[in-house]
Amino acid sequence: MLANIKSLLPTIPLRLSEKARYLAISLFFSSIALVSGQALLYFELHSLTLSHCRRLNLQNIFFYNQIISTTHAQSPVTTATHARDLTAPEYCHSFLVTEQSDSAGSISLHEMNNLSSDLKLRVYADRYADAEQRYADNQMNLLILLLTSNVLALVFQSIHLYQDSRDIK
Amino acid sequence: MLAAKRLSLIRKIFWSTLGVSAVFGTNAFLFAFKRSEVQNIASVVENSEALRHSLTLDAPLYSYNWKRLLPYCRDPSSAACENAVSMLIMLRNRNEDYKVVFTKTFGVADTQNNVITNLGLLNKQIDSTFTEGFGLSLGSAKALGIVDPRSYLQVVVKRGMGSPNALLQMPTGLQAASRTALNSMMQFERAKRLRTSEYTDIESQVNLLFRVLILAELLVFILVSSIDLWNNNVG
Repeated sequence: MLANIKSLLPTIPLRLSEKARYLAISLFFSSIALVSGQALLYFELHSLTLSHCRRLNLQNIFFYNQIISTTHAQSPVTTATHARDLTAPEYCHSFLVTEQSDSAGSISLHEMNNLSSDLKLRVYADRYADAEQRYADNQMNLLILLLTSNVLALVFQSIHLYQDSRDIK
Repeated sequence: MLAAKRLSLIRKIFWSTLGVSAVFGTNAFLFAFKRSEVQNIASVVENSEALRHSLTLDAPLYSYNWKRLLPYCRDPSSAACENAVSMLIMLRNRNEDYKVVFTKTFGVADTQNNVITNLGLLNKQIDSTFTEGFGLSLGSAKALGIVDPRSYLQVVVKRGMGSPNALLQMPTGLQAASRTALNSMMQFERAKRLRTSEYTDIESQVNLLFRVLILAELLVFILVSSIDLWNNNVG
């Protein structure tokens, strides 16, 4: 196979003709559209896990509120015991890391998991909401990029086809 | 000659394209299948977490020491007896809620699972507390239009108690049935909880399939584009 390729090297054009140049530009924009589509699928895939993490946090918030309202007569230790296991699962951690400050300031994941339950749940809710917003913004931008590059690819392809049709005798 | 070699190479690229497309197609099918599995497992994790929280909140009710409360019903007009009747009704209603949760949400078949059986036994125990102990079953009370524990006890006082001795013996059976029901529900929840580790495993499988998918797509694009450019640039 390699020997075949080497023997064909003189035939592989190193320069593009004018017609092929437009085709190359069209393919370039098509590749951008392709990669945008793949990035959209990536965000959609991770949105699934993000929504799941948000629903788990919501359940924890309801549970915590119930604990607080029904165990007011019991010791804080009992309340703390019930409420301690409200840390987000590991697969949700990637959504909780952010460079921006929020209601709890710029705190690390480890510090976040050691906060009191009510503050922890609130910080989780904020971080998930921020992550969802970021995903939504990125998906919108990618969608616009995909549509624009699709159109540009078609424009350059139309130029290539026009040049091609001029060669038809 | 060179044209023939060129054509031969293009033919190989063409067949490679078809091969990679077949890989893409198979992978896309697997990806869609695994993705729906992720959704299913997410649903199981959420349901088992909700069940865990619910059992934590209801554990005091199911672990209640009825020996301390039911004896107050020697005087059915007492506030403590009214409290006992309220709690029994609450427990019975909670059992019905859990039966619906296990059958509808977790898809547990009635006849096959200890949880449903134990909840049923607990309900029977509660029903016999009302029927034998107070002398008025919940069904009869409903038929009489009784809607709250106070009205129920007023009717019991008028009609006369069923068997105060039976009522004093009920707590043992009630407590045992109650704790068995709670333990079987907790065991069920623990078994479901073990599936949460499956989420991470299946997520990584989906990520791998996704990477293969995008690589295959890029490869097909590069192969097809190269043939296209080459053909259009010949001469």
